[in-house]
Amino acid sequence: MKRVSRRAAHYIRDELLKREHFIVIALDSGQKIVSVNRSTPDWNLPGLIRGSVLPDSLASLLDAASVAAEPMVFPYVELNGFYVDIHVLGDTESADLVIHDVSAAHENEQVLQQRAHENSLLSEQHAALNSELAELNEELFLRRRQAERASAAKSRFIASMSHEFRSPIASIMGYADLLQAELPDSDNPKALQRASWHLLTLVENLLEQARDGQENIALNPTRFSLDRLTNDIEALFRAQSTAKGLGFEVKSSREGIVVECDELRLRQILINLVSNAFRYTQEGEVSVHFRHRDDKLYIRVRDSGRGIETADIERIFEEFTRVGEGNTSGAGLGLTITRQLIKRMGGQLKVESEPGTGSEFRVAIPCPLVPDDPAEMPPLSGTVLWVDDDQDILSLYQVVLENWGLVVITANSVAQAKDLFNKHDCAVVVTDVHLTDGNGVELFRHLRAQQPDVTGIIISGSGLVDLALETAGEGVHTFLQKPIDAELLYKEIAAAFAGG
Amino acid sequence: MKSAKVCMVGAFGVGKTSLVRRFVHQQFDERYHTTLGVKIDTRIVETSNEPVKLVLWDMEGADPFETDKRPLTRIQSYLKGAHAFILVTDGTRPATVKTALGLYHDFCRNHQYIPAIMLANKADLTAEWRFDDSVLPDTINLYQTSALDGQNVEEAFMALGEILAAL
Repeated sequence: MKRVSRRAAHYIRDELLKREHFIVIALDSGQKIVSVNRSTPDWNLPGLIRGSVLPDSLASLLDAASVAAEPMVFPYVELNGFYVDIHVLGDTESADLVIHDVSAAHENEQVLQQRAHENSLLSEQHAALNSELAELNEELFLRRRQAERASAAKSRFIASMSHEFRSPIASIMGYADLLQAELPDSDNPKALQRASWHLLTLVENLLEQARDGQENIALNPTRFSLDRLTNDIEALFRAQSTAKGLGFEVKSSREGIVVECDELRLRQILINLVSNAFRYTQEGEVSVHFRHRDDKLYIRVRDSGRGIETADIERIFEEFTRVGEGNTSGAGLGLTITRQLIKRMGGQLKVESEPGTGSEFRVAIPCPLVPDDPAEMPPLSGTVLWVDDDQDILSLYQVVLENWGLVVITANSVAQAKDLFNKHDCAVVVTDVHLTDGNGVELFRHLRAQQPDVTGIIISGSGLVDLALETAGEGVHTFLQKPIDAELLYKEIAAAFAGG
Repeated sequence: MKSAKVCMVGAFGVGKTSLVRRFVHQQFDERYHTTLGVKIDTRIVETSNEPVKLVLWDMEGADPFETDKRPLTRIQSYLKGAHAFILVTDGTRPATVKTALGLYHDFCRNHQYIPAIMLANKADLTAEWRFDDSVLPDTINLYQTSALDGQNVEEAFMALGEILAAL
């Protein structure tokens, strides 16, 4: 403001003093109060008495100001519940403190600052939480990778175990076939075959779990008698039904027919469903009905067990799930695997259930009817080199192939196979993939390099072998999985001799 | 009796007011009230040499990212004539160490060296503790305090009283 008249200056001063609260304190050199002047008589601060020493808080302000060369202002100082601006004028000899009440302005600004600081603190907390979340996500990622590695290791282990189991089972099944041929009227070889099939389905369930639905394995359709299958299911669960005091019925609408599909997978499905029915049925009965029509096999597994709540029907197909209280038997994998297998075979599964009454599982699977003519197996001629590190398998297939008229050279190692191959004129080599001293696929490549017209058949007990055929290279006629159906083996060997 | 102006400085929300309230009045308030301006409180401490009157200037918190520079100007006016600093930080907010040290170093650069201690407050929140004292100079002693339960509060102020009595 430019220079104004004395009259205007007085007017402004009077107006200011009317609106604002001021206290002016005059001090001597000993910081004693000489005088106290108030702009309005209704505003006062306690402790400001003429002749007394300044209170600590104000004395402290005065000390701070004494180091400054100019008049000083201390804004927003809390004094007896008020907020004041304190102006210090003068020097150590005599000073004036001008105290200006700014409580109203302080309150307004304080509200804004409180809000700003609270927002800022919330933002910091938000950022800290985000940072923590990022760390947790990183840890989650690492743990997921660890879990995936562990899962892959588990799959490799189960596949390896599956291979270990399959070879002896194949051996038992093969010898049971031989026994059956020798003793056609005996039931004992049949029991042996049935138990072997059961064991094989259990191994396959393990392998399915290892695959975890990730691998689309090839199906292995073979011809088989539906009567044999229904009889086996009946015989397999008869003892269980007797032990639990349950009725058990296995019926087929058509007898004496031969069908074609993956018998092993079909047995897995049946054993899983019927086992499940017995597990959840304490009284009444379990029944299995087969019906064949329009190249489809319809199976109905019904029980009078405790049934399933509608809300739980989808859950029973989840891995490791056992619906209902007190149910602790079984791994909770059977139905999960069953549904996967049915889907893979192009079939359908439906479930109907009523709590307290029972459940009904209906399966429909493509399964063409084939002529009931025994496959013609005319004698073959030629020499086959069969390589497997399981001596029982070697002995078994030596008998089988010799019955077909073939000369069979057997080797139980890569080294022996190479040696014998050089000494005999073998047109066909059948080799297991996993050998104690090497790999059967690599062995065949080696032999093929020596004799380019040799044909190979690769065999493995492991189910995870889709890649084996792709990587086997030229000259490999086919891949077969243990246990090998005799009719299929004959067909493939005959084709290999015929040049593919 | 020796009287010393002690400035409580640091970022907002670290607990400066709560520490003074705990030390002078043995009280604690859960609610957060930001300080605008300055509150002056006193307490006499008995040191091994002589009693020292601590005149505690509990001033508003600094915000290094604030575009409005008036709070910083106010803080700088309050710091004049200080005899010691209490640098208050929040153990759960690592950035508050830098704010408190920044205020102290600015003062020493423009005025004179004065003693200081650092209080890492909110020691009761151990699960969220993220305090890094690696940037702390050797000349500044660190105390982990909690205004909420009083942990180390008395000890820290007494230690500063001893330093001031010895000057």
